[in-house]
Amino acid sequence: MEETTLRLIERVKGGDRDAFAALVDLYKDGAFLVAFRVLRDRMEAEDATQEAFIRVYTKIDTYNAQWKFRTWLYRIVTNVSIDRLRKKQPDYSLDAEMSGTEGLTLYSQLESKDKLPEQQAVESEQRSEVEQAIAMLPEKYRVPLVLKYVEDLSLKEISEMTDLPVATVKTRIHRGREALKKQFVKR
Amino acid sequence: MTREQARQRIHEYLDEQQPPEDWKAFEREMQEADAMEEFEEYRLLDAEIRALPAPRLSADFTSRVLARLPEQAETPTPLLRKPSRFGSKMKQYPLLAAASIFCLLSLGSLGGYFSQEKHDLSYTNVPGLMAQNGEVVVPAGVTVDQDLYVEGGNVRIEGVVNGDVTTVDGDAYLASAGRVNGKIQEIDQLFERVWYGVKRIFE
Repeated sequence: MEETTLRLIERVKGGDRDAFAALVDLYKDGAFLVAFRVLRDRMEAEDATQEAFIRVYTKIDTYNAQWKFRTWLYRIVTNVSIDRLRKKQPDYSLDAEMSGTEGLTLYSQLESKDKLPEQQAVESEQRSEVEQAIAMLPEKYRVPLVLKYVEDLSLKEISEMTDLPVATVKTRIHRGREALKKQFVKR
Repeated sequence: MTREQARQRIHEYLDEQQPPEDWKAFEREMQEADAMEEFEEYRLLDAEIRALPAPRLSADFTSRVLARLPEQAETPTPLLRKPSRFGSKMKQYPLLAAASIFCLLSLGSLGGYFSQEKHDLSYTNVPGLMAQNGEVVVPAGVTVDQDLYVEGGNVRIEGVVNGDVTTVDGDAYLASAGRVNGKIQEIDQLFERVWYGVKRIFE
């Protein structure tokens, strides 16, 4: 797979669009899953994935083969998705834990407000309890945690994708898991 | 093993997604720390996260990406990146930017000034002189009884000049039959003007 990828990238650098189409086909599902886990909205995630692939195409010359292509791509997808997420919901103080509550943030309080009631009804019907619990996690815990569960990415890969040290990624995944489990036990 | 240590082990187990080398020992540690229940809860949570639904991309995703691609892969990157970097530098050093723009503009006008002047031939108006092809000629048999000043062109002296000959931005050619009873001075205009400018700065 890696060798096929590198060959395709060389052809894309030469302006070969068919090679780029093949590259997209190889990686689109994983990339979309990354975007979807971060954004939790199918349409948004599809747009973000599209945007990320266009960036890949225009910046293919800056791709350094020392990186795994998957890591490079997922890093772009993650950045595009987080940008969109922040634009969608300005969360300047939402990520801060409210005093006296553990793992509970303003984020979770607002969650119900920014969606139309009918949309919300449909979504909560479709969403499992785990999904809702994950949705309530602050972004900094949620993103590394959900990325861990995309194609079993390694901590090192997540660290490269998010520009965080491995130790930080590890701690945040653990904190995220602990917060999720608390929700579970309460239930 | 404390509860906290046990929890750490559980996390590591979940991070690596492979059972500990010695499963029995791992279980024993969990039991000792009274963390077996916690371990099961985490395992269940892990399984539920893994089972989260993953929607599928639209079937025409690839063709839609291709339709939105810019024309060329290479050109947009350097063209788009460089001006923005330059722009940010300009914002960082506004004084430097202003100074360099000033220098650029004055250099431009200086260049335009000199190249324009090359085309204009001017000379001391003395009867008998001829101007042809951007060159002033003192024809044979003509005597000029004053200083001769020629700017923006060469001067060819075939006759006699009883005075100094000065050329600016041009050369003076003395034909074998010609004669100048005075000094011949050739001034390279650009150099002279720059020198003049420099002198003025230090005065």
